[in-house]
Amino acid sequence: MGRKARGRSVNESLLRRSFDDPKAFGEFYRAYVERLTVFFARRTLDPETALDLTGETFALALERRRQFRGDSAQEEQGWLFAIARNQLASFWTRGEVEREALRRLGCDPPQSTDADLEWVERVADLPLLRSTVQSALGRLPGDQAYAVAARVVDARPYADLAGELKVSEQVVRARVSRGLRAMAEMLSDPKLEDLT
Amino acid sequence: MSELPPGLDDFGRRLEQAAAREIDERERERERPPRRRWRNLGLPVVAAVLAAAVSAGAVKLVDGGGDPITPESGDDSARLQAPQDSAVIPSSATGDPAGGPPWVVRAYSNTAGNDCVQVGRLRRGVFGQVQGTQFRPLPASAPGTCATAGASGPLVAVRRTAELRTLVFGLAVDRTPVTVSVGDRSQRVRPAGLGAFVAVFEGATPGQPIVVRSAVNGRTVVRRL
Repeated sequence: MGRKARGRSVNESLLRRSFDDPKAFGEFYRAYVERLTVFFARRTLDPETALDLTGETFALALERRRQFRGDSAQEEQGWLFAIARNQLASFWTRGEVEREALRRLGCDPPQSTDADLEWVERVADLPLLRSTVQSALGRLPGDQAYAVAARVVDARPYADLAGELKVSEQVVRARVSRGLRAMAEMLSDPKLEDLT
Repeated sequence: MSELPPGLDDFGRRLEQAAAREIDERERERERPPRRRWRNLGLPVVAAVLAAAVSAGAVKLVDGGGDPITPESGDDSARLQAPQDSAVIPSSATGDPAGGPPWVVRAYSNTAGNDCVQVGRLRRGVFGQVQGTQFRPLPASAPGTCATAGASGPLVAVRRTAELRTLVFGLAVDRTPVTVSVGDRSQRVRPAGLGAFVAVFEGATPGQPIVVRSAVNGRTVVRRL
C-alpha cells in the first residue's frame, strides 16, 4: 500500500508533498510504518520498545521534514531510516526511548494495545527470532553470554557488573562486545537472512 | 502492507492532525506583517542601533553638520505614529553613482500594524539626507511609506530627490532578488536584513514607468508604479 499511484508517480516523494499537505504525511506514515516497526522490533526484540521508537522516529520526521532535500521514494526512505538508526543508537546508549519530538508536537506515542503488540510480534517474526537469538546466546562462552545477557537484556550498568565479577569495566565491555560480535556472525548465517 | 492495529492506526491520524496544525501555524506566520521580524530582534538590538545613531549624531552636531530636517507636511504616505521600533538597516546600504554616503532603508511599524519604510543616507551611523554640501539627520518622526509586505508582494516606495536620483526601495518578505526597472534601465538587487532593498537610478524624470518584479512564495509578483 502507500506507493500505489493515484494520479501520480509511484516514485514521487510523499514526504516532499507533505510540506504543505497533512494528508500526504498520513500516506507517508502508512507507507513506512510496518517496515519501521519491524526494523526496531528485530533489533530490540521488544514490541513495546519498537512501538515507542517508531513513534518518536515519525515525530522527528514530521518535525524535520522540510530539511529533506530529495525528490524520490527511495530518498525519503533512506532519510527516514537514517533517523531510525540514530534513534536506535541513542536507545542503546541511554537505555530508554527519547520522547522529545513527540512532546514538542503535543502527541502521545502509539498505544501498546494487545492487538498492536501481537501485530508487532507477528510482522517481525519475533518468536522465531527470539529462539534464534537464545540459541546463539547459548553457543557463546559462558563469561560472554553472562555479560551480554546482563548488559543487553537486563540493562545493568558496566560498573555494577565489573564489581560483581571482580574485573575492570574494560574487561566487561570487551566481553559484551566480543559476545555481540560473535552473535552477529551466527545470525548472519544465510539460513537466518530473512530474520535480520 | 497488512492492516494496521488500532494503536498505530490512531497514531497515524494524530500525526496527520499534528502536520495540519503545523502547516496552519506556518501559514498564519507567513501572513503576519513582517514587522514582527524586527520586533523579534529584541529591544537590545534596536536600542543598540538607536544608541549608535544618537552617539554618532552627537558627534556630528559638534562637527557642525547641520540641523535635523523638519518633517515635511502634506506627504501622501501614511502618517508616522511613534516609531518606537524603527531601525536603520545598514546591510541595505547601496552606493550613490556620485559617491558620498550610501543610501539605506529605515524600517518601523506604525500603530495600525503596517510596515513602514524610509530611505535616507547613512553617515557615521546617522540616518539623514544630504542637502547641498551638508548632511542633516532625519528624525525618527519623518514620514515614511506604509503598507503590509506579505503574500500580495513586497512593500515598494519611490522617491525622486533633489540630487536627481530615482530611489526605488522597500521590503521584500521572501528576500529573493528583486528586479527594478525605471524606464529602460534595470537593476537586480538582493534584499538585505529584514528584506530591505534600495535601487538607485540617476535622473528623476517624473512619469517614467517603474516596474518591480519579485518572488513571493515561489511565484513572481510584478508591481507597476
